[in-house]
Amino acid sequence: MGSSFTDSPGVAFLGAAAPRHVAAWARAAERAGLGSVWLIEDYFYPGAFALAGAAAAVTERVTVGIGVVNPYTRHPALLAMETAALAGLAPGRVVLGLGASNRAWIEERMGIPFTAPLDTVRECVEIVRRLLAGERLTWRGRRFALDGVRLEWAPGGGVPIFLGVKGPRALALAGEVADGVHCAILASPAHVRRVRATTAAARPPGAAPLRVIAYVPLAVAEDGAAARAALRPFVARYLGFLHGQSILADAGLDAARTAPFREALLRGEGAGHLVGDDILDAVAVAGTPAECRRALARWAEAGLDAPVAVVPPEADVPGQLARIGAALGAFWKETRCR
Amino acid sequence: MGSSFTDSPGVAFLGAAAPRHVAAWARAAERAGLGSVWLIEDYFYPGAFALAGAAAAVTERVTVGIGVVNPYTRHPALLAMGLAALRESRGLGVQVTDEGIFEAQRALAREEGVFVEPSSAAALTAVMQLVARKAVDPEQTIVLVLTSSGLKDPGASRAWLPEVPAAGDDFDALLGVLRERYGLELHG
Repeated sequence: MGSSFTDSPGVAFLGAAAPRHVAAWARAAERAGLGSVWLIEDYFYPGAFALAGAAAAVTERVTVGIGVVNPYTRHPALLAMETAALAGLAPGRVVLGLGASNRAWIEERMGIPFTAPLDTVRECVEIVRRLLAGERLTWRGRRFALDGVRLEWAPGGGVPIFLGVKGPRALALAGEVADGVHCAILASPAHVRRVRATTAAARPPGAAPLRVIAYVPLAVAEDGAAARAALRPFVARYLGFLHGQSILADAGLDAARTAPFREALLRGEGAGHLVGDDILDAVAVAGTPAECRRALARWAEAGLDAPVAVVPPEADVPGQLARIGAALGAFWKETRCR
Repeated sequence: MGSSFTDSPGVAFLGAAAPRHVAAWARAAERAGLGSVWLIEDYFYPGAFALAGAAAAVTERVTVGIGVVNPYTRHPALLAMGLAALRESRGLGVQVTDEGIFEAQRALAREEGVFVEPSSAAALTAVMQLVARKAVDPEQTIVLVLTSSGLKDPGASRAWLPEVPAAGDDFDALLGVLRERYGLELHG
């Protein structure tokens, strides 16, 4: 695959409505000239590989990304099998996002021991990469064991593996072994700078440049106030989920500032009215086309290769995608080429 | 889901070429009026859920089946998530056991004279279950593709096979074993 998918913004699909709409949304993304569509796998929402297969089947050009899956609920050999299927459906336009997930989902909710997450991800990256390359693999690791496993159909090289990670040790691992980093939702230009610095320090000499992409809540409209209003409740919900995490501290939103969002979430209340312009501008891109271009320039300057727009699923998704493509597509390409 | 997918034969897709062709094959199955398309997940062939998603996306009417996946390599919660993603396609999954697979493998050997690998027999045990619970009309014609020979994995079948005699490495010794053990008189 070329490096071209990051020449344009991408888009992420998520939520309970994704199965009914993914084909139409993926076609709309391709029509809008976006570079990539990403299938988010949040527990316990619809699974990413079935959705990605659907997106791959109805498109010709756009890159299809899995963002992200973990090696606890699927064995690495199976991850390689599903990724190979996807790579055959969409040759040269698949990206696999891997991460550790988290203890709350894996161990507390599903009873799978959340053992040695960094080792688990590290072994998984190497196993999946070598299987996709067509190697017959015997592996005796700390976490996984394979005996003479070889994919019956391997796409060869050309499936980049991105890590969806945020902590310092995990970012160092990404710098060491991954093709890219996929920053979680509510990243910020400051977070992208930290990702760049931490991964650069760990990058082996001579390795290909690491690509950095990020989920960015994004809304663009001629009526800038309406676009901003549409994102406030969405951002408020994620501030409640991620309260206290380092990715928010990077954006200058410490636990004291995000506590009201957590409390509102626990009470089952919306807190969009608490998302002031400063918070919105720190972690999202929203407004008129000109305002959105100015905001994205700050992300580009921080070292972002491509934003992956997270559009509230209750919005008119195809309409949003058309506006994102028209207002920001050419701008992003020029900004990256400068 | 209605029971209507069993009103017509189904078809199973498998093998290394499936990713490149599944969209065209699924469309062809629908055009041909088949009731279901099944995505077989043999190890270490391309994964079934990505293929099933593709088949679901390019068809309107045909049932999309996962046939079959196991609860060792994917956590059951994840299986449920994958099936939820396919639900719009009115798909179906069936859980099978080792015993059921061996029973289907024996039935194929006994009734058809075909010795298949246990994973190949998994689709048959799924159909046997569907017949037993009346989800499938026993008079239906159902196409199952038997994906690999039993000789690929004889170890797994040893539990129920009678003792297999060993022959020497020359042809005469083999003829001798066939004659003594099975009463077969063959002439080279």
